[in-house]
Amino acid sequence: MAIQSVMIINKSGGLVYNHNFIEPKGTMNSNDYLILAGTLHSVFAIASQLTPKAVQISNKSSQKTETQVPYIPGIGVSTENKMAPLQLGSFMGPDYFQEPFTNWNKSGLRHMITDEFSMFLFQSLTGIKFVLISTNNFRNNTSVSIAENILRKIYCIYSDYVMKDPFYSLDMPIRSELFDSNLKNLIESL
Amino acid sequence: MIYSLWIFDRHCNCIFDKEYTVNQSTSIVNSKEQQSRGKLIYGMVHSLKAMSTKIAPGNTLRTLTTGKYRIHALFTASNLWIVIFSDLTHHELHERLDKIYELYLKYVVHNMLKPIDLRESENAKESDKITSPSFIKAVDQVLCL
Amino acid sequence: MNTTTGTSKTASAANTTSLASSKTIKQIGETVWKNRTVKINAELFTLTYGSIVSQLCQDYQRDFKKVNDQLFSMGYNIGIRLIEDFLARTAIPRCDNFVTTSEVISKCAFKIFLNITPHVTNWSNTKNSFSLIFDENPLSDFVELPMDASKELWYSNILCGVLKGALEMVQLDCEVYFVSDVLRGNTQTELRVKLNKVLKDEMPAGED
Repeated sequence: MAIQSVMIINKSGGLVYNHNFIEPKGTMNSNDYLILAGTLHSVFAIASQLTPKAVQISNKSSQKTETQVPYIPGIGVSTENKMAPLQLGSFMGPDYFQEPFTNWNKSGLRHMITDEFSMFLFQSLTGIKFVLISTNNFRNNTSVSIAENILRKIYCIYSDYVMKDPFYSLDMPIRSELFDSNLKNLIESL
Repeated sequence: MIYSLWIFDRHCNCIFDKEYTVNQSTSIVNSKEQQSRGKLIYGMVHSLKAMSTKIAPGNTLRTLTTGKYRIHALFTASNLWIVIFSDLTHHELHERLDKIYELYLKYVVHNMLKPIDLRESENAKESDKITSPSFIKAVDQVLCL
Repeated sequence: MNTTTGTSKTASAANTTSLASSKTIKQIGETVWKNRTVKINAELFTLTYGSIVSQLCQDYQRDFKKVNDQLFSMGYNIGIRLIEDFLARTAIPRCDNFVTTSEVISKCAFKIFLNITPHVTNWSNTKNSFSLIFDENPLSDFVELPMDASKELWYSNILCGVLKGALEMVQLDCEVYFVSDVLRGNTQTELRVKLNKVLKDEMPAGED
């Protein structure tokens, strides 16, 4: 999966981090990215308001199974060398996590698929959003799960290198080289 | 399951909306309550479309997914939008969107007796929406396969 | 008491869709503690915390109220960041009610970060406040409070701040305070958590 860019939006809708791994085709200056982040933030909320009434009335228990994201091993970490597990920041073991997990995002926007790219949104319980833009546009469920796995791993890296930096003020732009390099390692090893 | 169908013209008006319920006979067409919803949908799709064009020029938006539903969209060169809300089992609805566009051409555009392409300054009355029963029936057939 | 770093690869507990069973919460806590967290020597931890408290007492010239407040605000700053680490590690879904929240705090959160499991008791009638009873407190091993401090200082007040900060970031406005402490001569160490309100306005969109 070719990742084009990663963005992090704080809970007030401000862009906190943006990095392009592949040069985007369109020219976007930093202002455009800020507008993009704000738009995504509000669209995310509107999407949950537009839930059709039929969904709201229907059986809630059937919805719960769809929010489980399966764990897909081998994303961003090598599965070959089992003898020496990686030191993934403060996470031990072969991978950041190894179980399927529930997606916190129940009715907000999750992904957007266009001809040229797919965009995936991941929101944590604290309101911080991680956006992944990838140049593939596969529409099956596996690629979606892969993207959600990647986003959760980015969340793990964020909780390590950004949150634990005492000089980082909350909701401010992220200027951490450790975070950048770890993120780069994760994305490049995909 | 298909939840609803919306058609927007190039003047940002919602010219057709139909909501499908489980029981087909009670599906609602062009109701007044849906007007504000229509505007919200238009705004949301428009912003995301503009955004996707910015990221990759010459790009077309296809689907938007949330945890509960999926939106499929077709944008024509004449800036007509056809939007379908479906549940998560439908991954691709483009053949149906194309068919609905053909039906639109057949029953609405080629019908010289009904007004089309209204200007933005006029009030959007009920009569300005698509009410042709044959169009509605044909659309039902396409979407309820 | 010594802790070691370990790298076992035991199978992880499955995360069910709803957080109904407390057994699952306990499992998550234990799995993450055992396999996913890097550990340090407990004495070093106790000594570090002790030196913080004693330095604060010195800096504030033994005004223990100020020391308590400072410990609380330090804890608050830790809590607002620690919650992201907790959520990234466990991916626990939003708790349906405050009872589940209390279980997650006691069985999962404290287990992962301090390897202790305080008991949840003393529920109020409206089920919006509870107490955590600590059988052991790694922060205060080997500590004895001097006479003047033992009337006013809450030694582990940083924990109150951590809990308040973490809960606030998940939109639960709570009051957290110590009720009793064995260091002060009481029979048990009890921490009270009271829910003031759920911050519905700040809840991120897209949740039910």
